[in-house]
Amino acid sequence: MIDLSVNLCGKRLQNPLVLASGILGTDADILKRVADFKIGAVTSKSCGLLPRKGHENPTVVAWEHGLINGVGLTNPGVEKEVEELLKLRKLLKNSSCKIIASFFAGSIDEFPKVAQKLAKAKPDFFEVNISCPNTMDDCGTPFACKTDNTYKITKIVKEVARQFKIPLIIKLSPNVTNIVNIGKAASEAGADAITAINTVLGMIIDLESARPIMTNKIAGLSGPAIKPISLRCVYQLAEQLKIPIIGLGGVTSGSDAIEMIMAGATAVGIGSATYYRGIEAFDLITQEMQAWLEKHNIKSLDEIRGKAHAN
Amino acid sequence: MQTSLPKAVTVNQVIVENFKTKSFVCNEKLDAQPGQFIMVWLPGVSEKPLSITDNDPLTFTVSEIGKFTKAINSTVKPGDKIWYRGPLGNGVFKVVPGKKVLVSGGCGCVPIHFLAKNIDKENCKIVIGAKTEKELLFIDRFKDFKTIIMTDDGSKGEKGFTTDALQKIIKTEKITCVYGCGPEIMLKKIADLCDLHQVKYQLSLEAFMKCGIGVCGSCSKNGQLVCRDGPVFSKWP
Repeated sequence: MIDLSVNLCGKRLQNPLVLASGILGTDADILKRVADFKIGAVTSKSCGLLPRKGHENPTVVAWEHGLINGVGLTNPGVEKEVEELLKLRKLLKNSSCKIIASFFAGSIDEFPKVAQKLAKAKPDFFEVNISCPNTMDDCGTPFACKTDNTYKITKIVKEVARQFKIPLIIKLSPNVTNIVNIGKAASEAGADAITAINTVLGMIIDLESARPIMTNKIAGLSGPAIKPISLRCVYQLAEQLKIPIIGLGGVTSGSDAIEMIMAGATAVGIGSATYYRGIEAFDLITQEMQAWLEKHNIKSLDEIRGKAHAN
Repeated sequence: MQTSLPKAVTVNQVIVENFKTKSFVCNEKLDAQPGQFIMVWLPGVSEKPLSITDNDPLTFTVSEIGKFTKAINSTVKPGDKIWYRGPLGNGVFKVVPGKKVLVSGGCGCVPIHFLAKNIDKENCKIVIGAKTEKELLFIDRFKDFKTIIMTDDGSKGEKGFTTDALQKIIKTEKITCVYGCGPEIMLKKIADLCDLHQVKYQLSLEAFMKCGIGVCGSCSKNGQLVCRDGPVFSKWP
């Protein structure tokens, strides 16, 4: 067995795979079930200051080349989320799997408030979701679409993160003209890592009813269709940034995960793959990575990380 | 690649089942197994998980409990279109040999009906329960079976819970499997009774759902996904 562990912001992930936020992250029990696949980390579903119902169904469907979701940041509020994460911490007391606590806020000033409360759950990492594409009606354009907003949010959340010694990950949107500029703003403001990417804006229409299927009409694409987009974003970010990247978007197999690492990712997010391959996707992808590395006589992921840049 | 997109289907017939419940018979067959469910979409209103009453032709039954169910029952007429995704769910009712008891509480008789159509009548008893006579469902549909009716207030059949009737049967007869669908409190009681008497069980659980396809986590019950691992469980989650 090849050692697949990676170092993310000074913390050891036993495996490069990370459960993406918004997938199966609703409660401690289901997060524990995912963590039991011995992956690097699980990310909870983003929480906000107050409970939020999200959009009416349909909110998630599988189309021909991926999923589309417009859940709309459904969450029980940060207070309840802290309870769930503390329960998860107990459930994972004999596990090496790390906990990434994801959160969002409705305004720039609200971000540190949520962070301050969420810190009570003692997560291993914070992931700031500044890039949800499904709440424009009430939250406006995602903060991650502007460099100045990204900079400001990262800067004020970093103060909280520093106080509690929690590494800070900023999750970026692909729905921007230049993702590298946004990534640089996050990095300059003190981000310890980047997750790239959130879902890609899209729409699907039902012919018989002649209306968009998602209640929110416009929603976020994920799954196989977006893998070339996420690879491109990770590649561009890795070229310019010194901080590590969690590469996320469309990875469903071991070879997809290796591609992401070759693009420069330190860790690899897994989300929609659980639809295509079940919750066992984590085991299958790990086994496929092992097999590929063995076949190519590669001893460590460091040997291939960012290799696509050299060739 | 595997998809889960809403598909339009025409409703051929609407059957009034009781004062708040209607069944919608569609114009096509669905290749589904007892216990599976569909996500029914009424465009502009919502999309919710509903049990399958019958698969040939596809029939589903709606009891009015909120905005969505009221909208379906008050607007969908024969000739109208309705949309659905499915069949969904990997945990399905599996017919086993031997004596069986099917227990239905309230609207639980919907998947129980689909199961009963696929089961040998001779080796099977059905316990149907509801709060009052008014809420009872599908009595006529089960007339070829040995049925026991239970109501909380005794307005029809015996007064008491379905689990009271089940307990009597389990204590006096050799039962190989109990099948159940209904309120969670009833299902938990069935599981406990079965565990106590070492009888196998298959129970169809209900949950709030968003995706219906095992990715959002909304329907997690102690880490088990009702939509994908269930909705039928042979071990209490």
